[in-house]
Amino acid sequence: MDELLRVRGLKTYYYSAKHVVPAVDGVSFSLRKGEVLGLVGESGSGKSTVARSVTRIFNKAYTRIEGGEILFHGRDLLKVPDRKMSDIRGRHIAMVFQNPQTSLNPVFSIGNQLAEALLLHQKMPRTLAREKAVELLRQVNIPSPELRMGDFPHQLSGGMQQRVMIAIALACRPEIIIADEPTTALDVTIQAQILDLFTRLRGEAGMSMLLITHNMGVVAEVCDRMMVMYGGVVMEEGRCAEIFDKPLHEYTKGLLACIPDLDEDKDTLYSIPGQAPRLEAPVTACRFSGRCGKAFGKCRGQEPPLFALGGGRAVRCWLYGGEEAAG
Amino acid sequence: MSDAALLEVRDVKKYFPIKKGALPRRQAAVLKAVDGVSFAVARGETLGIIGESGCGKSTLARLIMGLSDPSGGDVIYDGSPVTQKMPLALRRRIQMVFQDPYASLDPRMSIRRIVEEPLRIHERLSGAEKTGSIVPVLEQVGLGPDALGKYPHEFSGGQRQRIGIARALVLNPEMLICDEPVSALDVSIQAQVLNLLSHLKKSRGLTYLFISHDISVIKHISDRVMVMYLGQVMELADKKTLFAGAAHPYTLALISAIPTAHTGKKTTRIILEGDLPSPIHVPPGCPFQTRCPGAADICGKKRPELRELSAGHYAACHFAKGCERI
Repeated sequence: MDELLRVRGLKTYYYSAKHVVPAVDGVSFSLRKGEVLGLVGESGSGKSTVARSVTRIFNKAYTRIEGGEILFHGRDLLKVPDRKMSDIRGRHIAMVFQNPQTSLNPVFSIGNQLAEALLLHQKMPRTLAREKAVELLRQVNIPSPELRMGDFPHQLSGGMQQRVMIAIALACRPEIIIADEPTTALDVTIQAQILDLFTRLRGEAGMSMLLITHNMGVVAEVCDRMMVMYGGVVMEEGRCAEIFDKPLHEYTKGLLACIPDLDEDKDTLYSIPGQAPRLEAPVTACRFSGRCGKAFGKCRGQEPPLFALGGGRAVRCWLYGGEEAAG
Repeated sequence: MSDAALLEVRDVKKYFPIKKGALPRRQAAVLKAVDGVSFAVARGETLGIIGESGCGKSTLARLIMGLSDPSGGDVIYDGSPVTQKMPLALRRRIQMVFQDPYASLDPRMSIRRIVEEPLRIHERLSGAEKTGSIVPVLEQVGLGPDALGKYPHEFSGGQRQRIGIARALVLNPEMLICDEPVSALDVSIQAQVLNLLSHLKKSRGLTYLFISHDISVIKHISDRVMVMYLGQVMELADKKTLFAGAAHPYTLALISAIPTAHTGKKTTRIILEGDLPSPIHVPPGCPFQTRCPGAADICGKKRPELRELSAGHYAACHFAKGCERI
């Protein structure tokens, strides 16, 4: 299988005056060509930090990658100098952010911003860049793209802005798109349009995608495989259909159960008791043990490793203690 | 509408003038945030209001709270008109829970001051009496008396929302307006807060007006559901009727647009073309015509009335009868 990206034991820590916060504490995964991998978790689980570590978009003043490797085509991105990294970012690995309003530059027209993405990475005449930009806008279903080229971000609706962001990400035909909560700021009917666009683009361009979201429904809609993160580590991973069909980790089960079901009426929703743990506290137990209904002695004494269950399925839970997953 | 209505909204309109130019500022356009909305809420009922951004749901909440006056129509609460100048005795009977628990609590006020503020305004109580009324309310929302001396930053999002709920409950209101109370929370915390709201409704006999853009949350909590689009009511029905037999194409699209985490029962999805029109340029006729897959000539000419299709089931669509055109 064509493996594009492999992340091994990634550790990204944030430093504040008082604390060291291990936001990502040993995360491993691989992304194959043409695959869409979903990264789910609640706020503070470290999912965005994973994305920012891969593309190295973080503030060095208080963020450090403390360990692991990020192999892109077998080459460790952590050893690539910053200037080389900016060639890879955008050209080979592109990002789509959550909030298009703050991601687009308000003082440049969208045509200008699209052309910038093209000219930054490829040598071409400006007129050709312009033509390509129009083509990209057409590809993301923006009506009358020629006329829209001169528009400024504030003249577009949120859904259109996000399409422009996706067009910019697509500009250099990247091999991987990392989308961090791409539909969270959008209305549901617009979200449906964007998810539909992702599915289409993936079929046409055969690109790989790392989709970060807190919405299980979005994952079910577009992803092949998924990872559930909690407290900076992966709790469960596997094929989407399998996980939705039969979640193994208590946290995954809880996450799925607390979404109100449209087809069922319940008086009381299932809810996971307690709150997310504080990340700066040293880990001496399973990170979920404080909220887990099935926790027993061992859970409170030792953090479980990620147990591989075969077929790409892995669970970080002592209840499934088998063979440890290879890093 | 029904006799037992606690809140009645009659053909309410709220228009905002859009002004342009330096002096003199002339009125360039009118934004019709709420345009002729009527409904009633019975005592003890939960009415869910669903709609996308810009559909006027929050403006409607402000009108019902008496935070702004309607441009036309009336809001009647238990027989008395709701206006900005309504008496305090009436105002205390309707309270509000806000969307963002980070923005709606003053970071420089202790929890004691936040929760007792309504009491300071509406009642004359001694310090001990105030504490006496706050503590049981805090307990009802799941917070201990040790919270009193703390400040908002010491609490998580879910706990802050509980504090916001306690503040709304401390005056013993009959009705709570919940404007997107769980949309800023993580799903596991969202479930906790929804359960708390259901529990409080039962134990205190509250009436809710619950505003959300999340249709699964609305379905969970509501007795009746009202669907809004560009300031107008598209459909209004009790929950069962709406989810089993939605008559308006917009409602159908909204329901089908939800990505569901439960594989194996995927329905065909209706993907709406285009974006929401700006509420400044609401098309004449049916507001939904620009995105409606079944729009016909009449939709561009005549605004469909909200018609009663069956008992208690209203829809504003020329073709709403069973919706055979979709």
